[in-house]
Amino acid sequence: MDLIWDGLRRAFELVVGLDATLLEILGRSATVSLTATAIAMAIGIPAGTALGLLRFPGRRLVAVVVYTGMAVPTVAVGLVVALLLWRSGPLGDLELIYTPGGMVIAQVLIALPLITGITMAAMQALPAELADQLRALGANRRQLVIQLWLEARLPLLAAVMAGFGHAISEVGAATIVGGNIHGQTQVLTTAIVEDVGRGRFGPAIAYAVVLVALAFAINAVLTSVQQRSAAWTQA
Amino acid sequence: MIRAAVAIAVLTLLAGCGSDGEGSGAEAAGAEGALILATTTSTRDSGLLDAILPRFEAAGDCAVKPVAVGSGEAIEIARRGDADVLLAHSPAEERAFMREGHGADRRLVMRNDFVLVGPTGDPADVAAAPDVTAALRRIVAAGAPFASRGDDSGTHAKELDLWRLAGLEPDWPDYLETGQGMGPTLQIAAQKRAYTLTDRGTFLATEGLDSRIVHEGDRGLANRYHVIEVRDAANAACAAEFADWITQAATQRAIGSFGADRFEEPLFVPASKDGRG
Amino acid sequence: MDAGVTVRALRARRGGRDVLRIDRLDVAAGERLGVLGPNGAGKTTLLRLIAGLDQPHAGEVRVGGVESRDRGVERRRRVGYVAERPALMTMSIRANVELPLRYRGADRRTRRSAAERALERLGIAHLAERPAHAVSRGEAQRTSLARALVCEPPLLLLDEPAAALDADARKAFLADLDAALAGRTTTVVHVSHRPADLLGFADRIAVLAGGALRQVSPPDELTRRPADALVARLVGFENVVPIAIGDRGAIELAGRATGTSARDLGSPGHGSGGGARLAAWAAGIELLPPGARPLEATVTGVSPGPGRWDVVLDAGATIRAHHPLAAGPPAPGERVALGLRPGLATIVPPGPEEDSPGPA
Repeated sequence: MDLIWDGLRRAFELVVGLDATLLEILGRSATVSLTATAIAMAIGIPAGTALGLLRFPGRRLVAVVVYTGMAVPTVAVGLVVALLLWRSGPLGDLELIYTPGGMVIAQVLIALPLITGITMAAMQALPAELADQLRALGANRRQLVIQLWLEARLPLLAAVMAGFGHAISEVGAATIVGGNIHGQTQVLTTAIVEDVGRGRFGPAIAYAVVLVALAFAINAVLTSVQQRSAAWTQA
Repeated sequence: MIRAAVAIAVLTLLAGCGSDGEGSGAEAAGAEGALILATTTSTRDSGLLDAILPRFEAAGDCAVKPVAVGSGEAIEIARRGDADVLLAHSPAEERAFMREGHGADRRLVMRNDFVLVGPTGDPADVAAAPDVTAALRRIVAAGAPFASRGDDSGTHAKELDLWRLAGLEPDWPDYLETGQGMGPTLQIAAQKRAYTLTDRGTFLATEGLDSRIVHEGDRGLANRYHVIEVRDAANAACAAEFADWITQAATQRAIGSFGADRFEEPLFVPASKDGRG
Repeated sequence: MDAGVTVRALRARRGGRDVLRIDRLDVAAGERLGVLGPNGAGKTTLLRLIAGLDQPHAGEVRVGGVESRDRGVERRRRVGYVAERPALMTMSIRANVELPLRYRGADRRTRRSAAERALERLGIAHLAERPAHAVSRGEAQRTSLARALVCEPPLLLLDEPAAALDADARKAFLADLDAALAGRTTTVVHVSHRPADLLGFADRIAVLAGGALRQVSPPDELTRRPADALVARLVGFENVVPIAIGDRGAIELAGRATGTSARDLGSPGHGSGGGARLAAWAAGIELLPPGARPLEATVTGVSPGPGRWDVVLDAGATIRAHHPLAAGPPAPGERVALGLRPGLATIVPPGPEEDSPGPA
C-alpha cells in the first residue's frame, strides 16, 4: 500500500507542480497525435464518405480492409512502419525511424481505419433519401458532401475523437517506431512503460492520470455535444 | 502494481505445481513451488535464461518465474521482497543490498565484458583510442550520437561510471536516452548511427545490427554476474536450491558453452569457484 | 421562364431490363400533370429523370428546352422536388427552407425573407424556429413543400407527397398544396397511386403501369372512358368484370344476358371481340325488383357507406353497387335484378398484362 500512496503523492506533486518533464512529454504526445489525427482526418473522412455513399467495384473489399484495419494491433502497425523506415528499408533515406515524424506516420495508420470506418458507417446510417433530396434542392457535389457531413456531425466527431484517443493511448507502435528516446520521442505511454519497469510509480501514475484526464476531456466534449444535439432533436 | 502481478503469478504457479509436482522431487526434499527470479535484461535478451532454466526445472520441483528488468530495478524488486533470488551485474548496488541486510548469500556466477559498439564506419574514429576513457572523449569531441540505456540498469550504471571516470558530462544533443532494454537500445543505436555501451553477450545475440565493436578489452569493462539469495524470501528453499544449482559444475559448463556454436565465442565465462572446482 | 416538359423515346433500365419506356410525353408550361400508377409502375423513376437526379439510358427529357444530360446542377435548380418522405435536415424548419437559397448563393437577408414568405404560404410560419424533428408528419411535409417552393421553381415535382399521411391530414395537405399554388403558373407533375389525390388537382392524368403509359387524358375522360381494364381499376372503378358481347352488341355477364347493349353504354367500338371487360362504377349499378331486367343477382353483403348503402352481389361474378340510403337496405340472400346506368359504365379491352405475361 505504501507503494501506491507514495506513487499517488508523487504523481500529485508532478501534476500540480506542472513538472517540466511531464509537460514536455504531454506536449509531444499531444503534438504527435494531433498531427496524426489531422492527417488521418483529411484522408479518412473523404475516403469514408466515398465508401459510404458511392457504389464502385471493389468497394466491399475496401470496406473489409478498413474494418480489419480497425482491429489490427498497433504493434503490428508499428512493426510494418519500422520495417519501411528502417535505414536499410525502402523509405530509409527519409531518416524517420526513431523520430516524431515516424511516430506520426505510424499513428496516421492507426487512426486512419477508425476514422474511415466510422465515417463510412455514419454516411450509410444517413437516410437514403437525404442525398437525393439535397441534390434535388440544387446542391452541387461539394455542397452536398458538406451538408451530409453537417448532418452526420456527431458520428464524425466521434470518429475523430476515437482516432485521436486510439493514437495517443497506444504504446506498441510508439515504442517500436519512436524508441522512447528521452527528450525526442518519449510520449506518455512509453514513459509509463519505462517508469513502471524502473519502479518509479510516481511519474508513471502522473502520466497515466494525464492520459485518463485527456480521455475524460474527449468524452466530456463528445457527451456534451451529443446531449445538446439530442435535446435539440427531441425538443 | 508489480507486487500484485507477482502475487498473481505466484498463485498461478503454485496452483499448477500442486497438482503435478508430487513424486518427482526425490533429490531436493521440500524445495518446491514458484521461484521469483529478479534478473537483468541481458540474461534474457542474450537467450541464456531460455537455454539453462529448463534444466533447473527438470531437476526439481521449483518453477522459475523470471522477471527480467534493469539491474537497478531487479535489486529494487528484491529489496521489496517481491523476489526470492537475484541474478544481477551491478556490483556496487549489490554490495549496498548486502550491507543493508537484504541478501542472505552472494556468489559469483559468471562474467563477460562490456564493449563499446558503434556504426560500421566509426565516424568518431573511436577504434583508434588507446583506452575506454579516450574512446569516450572521442565520441564527445565528435558530437557523435550515443545511445544510453537511461534505465538504471547494470549497463547504465557502468556507463555512468565510465563517464565519471573520464570526467565527462553526457549532455550533448545527440546523447539519446532510450529508457529501454539492451536489445531495443542496440537497435536504436544502429539506426541512429550511434555509439553505445553494451554487454558482449547481448550484442552478439542481437541480430540485424549494422554496428561493430569499436572498443573492448579494458579491465574497467569487466561485467560480473552474482546470484543473491534474498533474506526471508517467500520461497527460500527454492532460492537456495537455485543458487546452488547455478554455481555447480554442470550448470557452469552449460553457461560456458552457451552461444559458442552460434557466435564462435561464448557469451558468458563461468566464474564460480564451485564451477571450477 | 418556360418550364414545359418534353419526354422523347425515354428508356430507363435497371437490373438489365427496361423499367420505363415512354416514347412521348409533353407537359405544357403551367400545366398540372398527374401521374397515376400502382407501386413499381415507374412513377418515381420518371420523376427522378425529370428532376435530373438520374440520367436516362436512352432518349431525352427536356425541361424548358434544357436537356438533362448537359446541365446537372443547373437543371436540378430549375425544379422543386417533394419526396414521399420529407428528408429534413437536423436543423430548424427555417434553416431547412433556406437550404435551396443557400445552395444558390443567396445572401442572408434574401434567404430570410424568402423562407418567411414560403413558410407563410404553407401556414407554418409559427414553426420557423422549431427543430425539424419536433414537428408532425403533416408539418414536416409542408416544410418540404415550402422548401421546394422557396426558389419559386418554374417546375414542381411531387412524389406521393401525401402518401405517408392519414386521411384527414392528407386532405388538409392537398388543400394547402392547392392554395400554395393558387395564382401561380408553376408547372406541376404530381405522382400518386391514389386517384383521389389527382382527380381534383390535375389538368391531365397520365396512367403509368409496368413502365409504360396506358392513357393520358383529362381526369373526367379517365373516369368516363378508361383506356383498358387496368386503367379502370386504377382510376377506382369498383366493378371491372369479364363480359361477352353477343349479337348486335348484347352484353352477357357470366353467360347471362344483361339486357344492355354496347351501344347503350356508348361503346360500340369494342364490338364482338373476346376478352372485353365491363367497367362500372358502383353508383352505376341499379338494384331493381326481380324480373325488371334479365340479369339477376343475389345480395351477399350490405354495409352502410357515406350517404348510401354499399351492396355486394353475386351475379355469376362479384358486383358492387351503391344503393340510395333513403331506399332502405336490401336483405342478404335477397334476389334482385341489376340495371346499368348509362354514363357510369363502359366497355374496355383487358389490359395487356391480362393477355400477355407482363411488359417486355
